[in-house]
Amino acid sequence: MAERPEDLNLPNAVITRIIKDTLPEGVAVAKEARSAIAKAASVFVLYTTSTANSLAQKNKKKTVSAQDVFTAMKEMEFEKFIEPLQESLEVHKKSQQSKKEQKEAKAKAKKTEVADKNTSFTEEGNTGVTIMDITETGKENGVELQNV
Amino acid sequence: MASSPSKSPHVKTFPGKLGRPSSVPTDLILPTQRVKMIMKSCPDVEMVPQEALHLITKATELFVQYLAEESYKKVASKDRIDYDDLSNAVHDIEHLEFLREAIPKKVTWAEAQKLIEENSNKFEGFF
Repeated sequence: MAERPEDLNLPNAVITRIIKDTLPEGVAVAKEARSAIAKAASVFVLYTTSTANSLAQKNKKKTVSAQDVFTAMKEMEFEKFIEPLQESLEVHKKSQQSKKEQKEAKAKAKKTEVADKNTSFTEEGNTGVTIMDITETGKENGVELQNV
Repeated sequence: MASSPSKSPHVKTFPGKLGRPSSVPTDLILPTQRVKMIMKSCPDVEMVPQEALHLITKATELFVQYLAEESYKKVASKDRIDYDDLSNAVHDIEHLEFLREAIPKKVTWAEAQKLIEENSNKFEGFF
């Protein structure tokens, strides 16, 4: 939950960046105009959320689906956002997928690593000690430097 | 420094704790957590699914671009956008009606006084 009213503001720096990237170079934007656009963006979030949410409720759903957001855009007469939004959603889905795969691969790798350690512990000594050695040396170097 | 050959592929693929936890690209620049907070401040909204959050964040970025473009169309000097350019855009474009309260047109003190006088009978009960 939002604890302070500022929690409902979007960061001015990011808003300014989007504005600057949109406009031709060299166009100045008055501070008052920038904060008004940031305020408008917050109102837009609320308006979109409530429009999409009532669409979901109409369909007897508790949560807002991607389709609800698209329909909301149409209702609000922002149809031209729908196509770039669909593209962005595809990118998002793909990156979520690869994130998941990375996580799984990582978990798998960890498992094999643990297995490796268990088998090789007695034979080869262990890497853990090596790492500690390096840190120790680093510390010593630091001390030496300070002494000099 | 792969101590055992079975480990080397793992080392190559994952740089370890120092590597950033997520190298997965995202096309958003607004912070989704903040957008989520605003969404949750809406009555009747409890859960915010990932997809909806992503879409609404992206839509907000597009919306900021749109507002900047429309305000720029209103400017007189072509090198500067002022509050009035924005409020003119908001009040001229029909589907931006939802912003009219948040971004009112400015009035001068003289105009405000005139408005107060004209509507003075409406305010009588207040004073």
